[in-house]
This record gives sequence, structure tokens and C-alpha cells, in this order.
Amino acid sequence: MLKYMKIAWKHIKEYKKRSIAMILSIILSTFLIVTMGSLSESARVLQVDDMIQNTGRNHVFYNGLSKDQIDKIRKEENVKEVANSFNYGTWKSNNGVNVDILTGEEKLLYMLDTEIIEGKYPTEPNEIAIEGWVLDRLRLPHELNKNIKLSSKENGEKEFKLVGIIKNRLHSQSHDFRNAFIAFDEGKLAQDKESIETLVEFKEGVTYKNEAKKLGKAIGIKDKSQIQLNKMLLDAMGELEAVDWNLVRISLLLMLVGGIVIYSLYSISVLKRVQEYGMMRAICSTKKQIIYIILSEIFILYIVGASLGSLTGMLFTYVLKGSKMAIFITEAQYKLDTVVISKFSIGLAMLSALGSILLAGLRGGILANKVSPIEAMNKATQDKNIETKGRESFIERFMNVQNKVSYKNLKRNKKVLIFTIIAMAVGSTFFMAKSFKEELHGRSREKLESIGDKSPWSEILLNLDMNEPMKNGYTKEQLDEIKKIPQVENVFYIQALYSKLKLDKEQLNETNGENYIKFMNEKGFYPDMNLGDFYIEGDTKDSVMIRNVVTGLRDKDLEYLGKIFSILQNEKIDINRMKNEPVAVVYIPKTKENGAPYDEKAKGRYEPVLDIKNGDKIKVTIPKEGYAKGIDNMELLSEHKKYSSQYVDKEFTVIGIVDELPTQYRDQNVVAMPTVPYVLISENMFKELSGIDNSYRAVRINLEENISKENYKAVKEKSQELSEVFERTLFVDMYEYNKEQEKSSITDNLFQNAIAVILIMISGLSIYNNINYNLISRTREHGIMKSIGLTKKQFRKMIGFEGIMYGSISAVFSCIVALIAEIGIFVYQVYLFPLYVFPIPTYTKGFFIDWKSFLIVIAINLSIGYIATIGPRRQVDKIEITDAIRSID
Amino acid sequence: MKILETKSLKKYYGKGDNLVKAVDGVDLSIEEGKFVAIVGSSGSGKTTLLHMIGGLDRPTEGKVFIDNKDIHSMDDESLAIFRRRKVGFVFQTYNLIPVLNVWENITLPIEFDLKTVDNEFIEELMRTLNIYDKKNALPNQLSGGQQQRVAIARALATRPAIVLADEPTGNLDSKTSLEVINLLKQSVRKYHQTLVMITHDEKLAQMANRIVRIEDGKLLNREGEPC
Repeated sequence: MLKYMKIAWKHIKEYKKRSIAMILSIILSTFLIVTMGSLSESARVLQVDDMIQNTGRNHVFYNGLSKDQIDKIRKEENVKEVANSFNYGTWKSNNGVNVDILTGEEKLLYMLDTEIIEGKYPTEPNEIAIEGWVLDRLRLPHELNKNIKLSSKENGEKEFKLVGIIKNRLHSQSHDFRNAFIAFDEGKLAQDKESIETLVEFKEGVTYKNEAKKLGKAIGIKDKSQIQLNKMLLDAMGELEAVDWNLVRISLLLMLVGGIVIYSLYSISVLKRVQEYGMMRAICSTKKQIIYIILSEIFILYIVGASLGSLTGMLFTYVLKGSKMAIFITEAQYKLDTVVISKFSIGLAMLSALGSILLAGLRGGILANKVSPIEAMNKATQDKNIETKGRESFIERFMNVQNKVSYKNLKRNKKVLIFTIIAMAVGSTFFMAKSFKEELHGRSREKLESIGDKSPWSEILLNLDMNEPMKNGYTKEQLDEIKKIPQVENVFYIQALYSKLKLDKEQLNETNGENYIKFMNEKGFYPDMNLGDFYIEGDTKDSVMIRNVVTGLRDKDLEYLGKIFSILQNEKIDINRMKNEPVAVVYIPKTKENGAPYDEKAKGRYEPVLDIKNGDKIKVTIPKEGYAKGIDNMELLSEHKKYSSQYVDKEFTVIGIVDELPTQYRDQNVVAMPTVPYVLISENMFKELSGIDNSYRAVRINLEENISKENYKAVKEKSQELSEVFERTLFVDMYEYNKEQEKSSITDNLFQNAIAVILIMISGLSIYNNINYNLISRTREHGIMKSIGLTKKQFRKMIGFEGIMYGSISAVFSCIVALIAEIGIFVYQVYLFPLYVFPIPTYTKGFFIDWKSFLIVIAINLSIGYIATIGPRRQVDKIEITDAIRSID
Repeated sequence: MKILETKSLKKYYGKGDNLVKAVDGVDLSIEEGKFVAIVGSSGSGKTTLLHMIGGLDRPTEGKVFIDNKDIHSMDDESLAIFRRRKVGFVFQTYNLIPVLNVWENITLPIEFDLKTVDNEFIEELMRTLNIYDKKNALPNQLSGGQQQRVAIARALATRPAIVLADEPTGNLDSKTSLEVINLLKQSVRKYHQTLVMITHDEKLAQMANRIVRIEDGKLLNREGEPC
């Protein structure tokens, strides 16, 4: 074998340029797979980290365990950490902010992915630790050892000493989930085991889902409801899904591009040496020996290329550490703090490089062995395959003879052409599809902003808690004070009413509707939150009542609704009629057959759950007196029967059905999730229905892009003041977060573009090499033509034309593939799954062609095609005509 | 009347000890309408001489006049145009363009010149050379003799002043060789052209009006001595 290695090594050294190109292609291909695979895996790890921040580090939590059971868990081999906690109560602060107090072991902070940044974790019964942002919400100074008076319904008033400041949990902050932590009470374990929650994190390497169940069984849990898996975390870890199709998809794409490049480069390299192999065979080399030489060469090139490629891939991934990137597998943005080198992708890169180079080697070997030594030496293997077609094709009629020669040669090299096109189409399509998505989102956003709304990106959000009596809300005058602060772009506010829709059972949209009300009753309407049933039997056996939200819109918002209708649905609604008559626009949730609104995997298409059309009459019923008296909403929601006498009905005629619920018409409470129907009416009608006037429950504040710090602070202060008017008001400040998001999206774009550039580069290399080889291999032909009078100028034009032909075909193919992909993306995002899959609906309803990306791809393809001809043209130009002709002799 | 004249034509390769004198001071003149055979052994410089005469190769020294024009004083572009109008080449290995059919191969130099193809003339030429029925065939569908006849037709297609044939029968059997030379001779006579043919086959050379012998890059006189 060593002697073959020596010959192979000599080959490599002899054909330096070719060998370098080969190694480079392997490096590029493995680099690409390792980098993208690692980034993808890093992103997944980040997603898991993010989920840990959202849902905690524990894989499972058990409730209602005894001390013995907890002790048993602690002794289990596969258990990494255990933390026990229970709810102490809800602290109602003086400024109306509610904070849930948790009694927990110190490990609880670890489980919740946070830590003490100042002071210590409470160990004594009168000690407390709080997150910095929660202290701000409570308007308390960040001062350790300060006494805080705390009053809760459950435990009355008590004084605590602030002993620790906890690191902010961004997720909790952005959702306004407020917690405080006090020392764990071991005694509680014995007294009130029902309220204890035991969070368990398992060691790495075990199947968490199975382990959680196994452990539950081992400690004697019989009631399955005592075992609660952290499903979101396990899902992020990929444990709930057997095959990670996203990774498979990316891997296949990478393997395809990388494989094609290596295959085509090495194929050409071997083909170029057919003459040499012919000579070897003429001097009595066996076929086997030729194969050994090829294999030895492959081995050397592969080892060098694949190792360097993997190394550079790993290095590059490390370089990206700290940058912000979008994950490949979700829409969310992540900062790349954790870098994971994917062993899977290294294996994949190695395999794909080896597979493609072996395949190319094998093809070359077969060819070298198939042709006779004489043929091989004369390189006379090509002309044999040329076939004739009686007539010239239509396109040829318009070509001069030089171009005809080029065109015919192109047709003759179909395999080369196909490889070239596929390689280029992959990179180009990736770039164009990405660019199209960007443009689609950009246009959608522009459209939304053109009608005066940027609510999905609002900076500040105020929303009254659902317990707060319906008649309560902010007045126009209060909200105008915010509007008056300079650089406040606009303030959106709505009236909202939690009501019920009285429907005939026929108005439920068959299976979708029936399953929807069942689903909402059992799971969808938060049965644990004591909100009452979602669905109540009606007055007759053919009628039914379901929960809904009524929104009262100001004149300005009605106009906006009209615009939304014309843009989204190309329909007109009579706004003036809405102002004065009992007419309404309805939003109906959509589900698949199983009735679950968010189930992407369920069978069937998304259909509205109610069979309501324009002109139909709907009846809304509300506990008018209960609302007027200001009864706690939770009480009204959960006790339908008790307050049934106070319900009044109002009939509305439907004049429009909006497919997607515009964000600013939404109330943020769970009872008003977009999984329930909304009835949009005018303020006048709202007043008539409920008697409630000038009382707004949901507020969105949009700031100007370049708002000054002072103005921002003023808005924030004013908003916080308003949030404190009513207890438990949701107050979300997204200003910094939105800014970060924007930065992330710019970096993400750069990153995605870099991938497209690498893909196009690698495909370009393949095209360059193919065209280059194709032209060089026809040196003799060029010599002949020159000898019978082809001028240098004509020759250059001819070669240039051939390159441009390759580029054009590849560009046309890329554009067609990209166009199909873009239509697919468009249909998917706009029509098939507009809701529930994407956080913001797509407001662009008409398909468009993103000319910019098409032009770029066409220009790149043509340039690569043309540039690829420069080298061979110069090379052929340098060769004397007599040498060129002699190259066959 | 002289159609071709070379003056002290030299082609040297390499330097110092490695200097090779492929053609060494050749003075040759050929009359219009004649068939001249250049005979010499392998490596004698006959192909190099022919290439310089045809403007495919530039001489180290000396001049080539065709139709009283010093062809090597022209730039590459003009020389290519001159070549396609005034010189026709026939090579030993036919050198047809594999992707073009017989008709396209023959008319190739006319197309390069952006001139209208005289269909009648080409058809007559093809009939003379007995390849008309192969009009649409590709080179790989023809025998060696047929391919060479196509090459001859291509050389004659632009009605050049001079046809240069480099061992046109080198790849053919003796019967076909004789046939091809006869056809070549017949064609140049018919179209009033001058034929310069390289060969090392004495029998074929005898068919020429004049035989020029070359050895070590020098022409030999009747006595076989360098002149």
C-alpha cells in the first residue's frame, strides 16, 4: 500500500493547483457542515437555556410528597438536584403591586436559573430576598437589612428584613411575573404536604421523561397528576420528539452542497488524468492498481481537508461566541454565549466528504479502467458520446457559429451542466428565500405602520388584571397625559368586557366547533384558575353559551378597523353604521378538527369554530348589574348560576368577520386570549350594552424611535403611576428589549447572509471548476478554430458567451426553484397557517416578486459564469495554435 | 506568377546548447496553381515550415509573402482574418469540430468571416468530394477517409489562394490515401488553387508538379545538398 501512497503523493505534489483546489473544497464543505451544525446545536442549547429561564431547570416537579418520599428522591442515583417550595401567599403592596411569596430552599434559585447578587439567601423566618426589578415595581430601595412590612391575605401583616437581592429573571420581568423568596420551613413538610412542590433535576445522559416516571413509581406515587413534566423544557431539549427533523433538513442541505462540490471537483481531477492512467495501463498496471492509487490519493486529500475543515469550523464557531444570532430552529433571537461543537455535525461532515470523494474516485476509476489504454492516452473518450439531432434547435437559428459551438458543447456536457445548476441553485435559493421572507415581513410591517399601527412592537403595555371589576379602567384624560409627553408616537386604548355569546348549537362549525368547546372547557380555558366553565348549556337544549370578549372601539380605532379590513380581506365595512346601530365585527378563533387552537401537528386545516356569516345575528349576554356594582370579576366569571338573574342580552348584526385579531384590540388577560371569540363594537354601543363609559382597560404606548432618555423616563414613570392605580395591573416595559431585538435581527441578517455567501461561494467554486475544466479540455478544438481563421476577439467572445450561458441557465433554474420556494413560503405564511404559528399575522396578502434578490442572483450567476472563463481563455490564448492542435497528436 | 515566397525563414527553439534549428534559412517560392510536395523525414522541419507559411506560427527570422503580402508583419487579428480568406488547411488528424455536423464544419471559416455561405458552391464541393449525402452527419459518424474529405472541403470552402496540407493521408490506408490525394488535386485544379502538401510518402509526392525536399530545417537541391 505504501508504494501506492507514494505514487499518490507524487500526483498531489505534481498537480499542486488541482490538489489545493481539492483540499480547499473538502475544507469548505466540512467547515460549512461543522459550523452550521455546531451553530445549530449551540442555538438549541441556548434555546434550552432560554427555556430554563422561562420554566425552570427542573425536568419534573412532584406535588404532595411526604418527607420520606423527598428523602428517597435525594438518595436516587440519577437525581442531580432537588428543591422544595410552597406558596406563602400574595403580598399586596401599598402601591397596588401584587407579589407572590415563595417559601423555598436555597436550591430553588438555582432551579429558577437565578442567584443572589447581593447579600444572602434567607435562612431565618423573618428574612426575605427579592429581584431588583421587583423592588423597583414596589418602589423599594435596593438596600440590604431594611425592614419591609408585608401583608398577605393568607398570613396577615408581618415584618421581613431584606437580606438578599436576586438577579433579575428577564423572562419574569418581561411578563411582569413578580416573586419574593423567604426561608424554607422544614416543619411545613410534615404539616401541609399537599402544597409542597418538589422540583427535580436529573443528571445528564438519562431519558428525563422516563426517569421522571420511574422515580415517581419508585417513591410510591400512585396518582399520576402528582407528576408534572416540564414539557416545554423537554420539548426544547428535543426529548419529546423522536427525530429532530430540523437538524436532518439542515444536514441534508449541507451534505448536498458540500457533496456536489467535492464530487465534481474530484471527478474532474480524475478525468484530467485519464491519459496518465492510460499510460500506466499501457505499461502493464492492473486495473486494481489504478484503483489503489486513486484511493490512496483520496485518503491523503481527505485526511488533510477534513481535519483542516473541521478545525476551522470549530474555530469559526468560537469566534462567533458572544454574537447575537437567530436560532435555526425557532423564530426567537439568542445571544451566542454558549458554544457547542457538534459531534454529530463533525461526523456528518466527515461522512459526507468521504462519501462524495469516494463516489467521484470510483467513477474516475471505472472510467480509467473502462477505456482502452490507447483511447485514454489520446484522451479520445469524449467525442464518441456526441449524438446528432436531425435539425438544429430553435435557439441555434439565432446564433452565430461560434456561439453555436459553445451551445452545442454545453448540451454535450449535460452532467456537468446539471451539477453546476444544482450546486448553484441550492445556494441561490437559500439566499433568495431568506431575502423573500425578510421582504415579506418588512412589507407586512410597513403596511401595518402605514395604517398607523405599530402595536405588535409597542414599548409599554398596561392591562388591568382580570379580577378588577369591569367598570374600572383608565380615563381618556389620564391617558392623554401620557400622550402629551414629547416623543410619544401614539397611545392605543380599548374598552373590554368579559361576556358570553348565546349561540344556537347549529352555529358551531361542525366537528371543529364541537371539539373546540370541549377542548376549551377541559384544557383551554385554564380550569385550574377558577374561571368557571368556558361553555354553559343555554336556555334551550339547542342553545349554548360560550365565553367571549366585547371590545369597545373609539372612532379612530373604527377607522383603523376599516383599513385593516380593506388591506387584509379586501372588504369594506360600514363604520358609520357601527357608531349608531347594534352591528358588530366578529373575530372567530380557528382550529383543526381536534378543536385545539394551537395544535400545529393536528390533522386537517384550520377552520373557524363558529359558522357565523355577515348578516347573521349574534346575542351577547353580560351580568350588567354585577358589572355596575363592581363585583370582583373572578367571582362573576366562576359563578354563572349565582348571577344569572343579572344577565342582560343584546343582539348585534354581524357586518364583518375579521380573520385575525389586530393586536391592539386584545386584552392581555388569560380569560381574553385570542382563543376566544371577540365581538368588536363602537364605544357608543359598548356604553349602551354595559353602561360603562370612559373606562379603558388595555393600553399600548408606542414611543418614537429616537426618544430621549428623559422623555422615556417620564413615560415610564407616568405609566408606572397608572399601573399602581389598580392592583395587580400588568405593566410591561419592552423599550430596552425591543431595541435589543432590533440589534439581534441586524446581526441575524448578517449571519444569515454570511451563510448564503458561503453556500454561493462553495457552489461558485464548483461552477468555476466545471467551466474551467470544460474549456481547458477543449483546447484542441479552440486551436483548430483559430487555425481556420477564428480571431482572438471572436475567440474571447465565444468563450465568454459559453460562461454566460452556464451562468444564465443556472440563474434561470435558481430563479425558478426560488420562485417555487417563495410561493410555498408565501402560501404557508399568509394563507395556510397565518395564525398561531407566527406571532404576528402577515399583513401582505398579495404575492410579489423580490426583484432585488432575483437580480443579485442573476448577476452572481452571470459573473461566476463569465469569471470562470477568464482563466481558461488566458491559458488557451497563451498556447500557440500549433501546440493547441498538437495536443491530440 | 508567385503566390508564395519565403525569405531566409528561420525557426529556432531553445537557447545555447539546447538550441534547435527547426527551420534554418529557407528560401522558397511557389507559382500560382501548382501542386508542390514538401518531402522530408520525421523531425526535418517540414510541419514547422508549413505552419509558418500558413501563419499558424511566427518565424524567429525571415519573411513569408502570400500574394505579395508579408503575412508576419500583420498583427494576430489581421493574420487570422488573412488566414481564413487566403489559406486553407488540411491536417493529418482532420481536426474537425466534433459538435458540428459536416455542413457546419465546412462552412465554419465562412461563418467566422460573417459572409453569406454560397450554398451552391459548397454543395458542388461536397459532391466533388463525394460527401454530400453525409451533410448532416457528425464527425464521429464518419470514416477516416470521409473525415479527411470534409477537412479538404473546409479548406477549399473560402476559395483560398493556397491550400496547405500537412500529411493529409497520414492516418489513412493506402487505397484511401490515393483517393484523397486525387480528390485534393482534382479540387485545387478545378478551383484554380495552389496546393502545398507535406508528406513522407514518395509515391504520393510523385503526383505533385514539384517536389521540395527538406532535411534538418534546410531545403535540399536536386543533388540532395542543402541549398
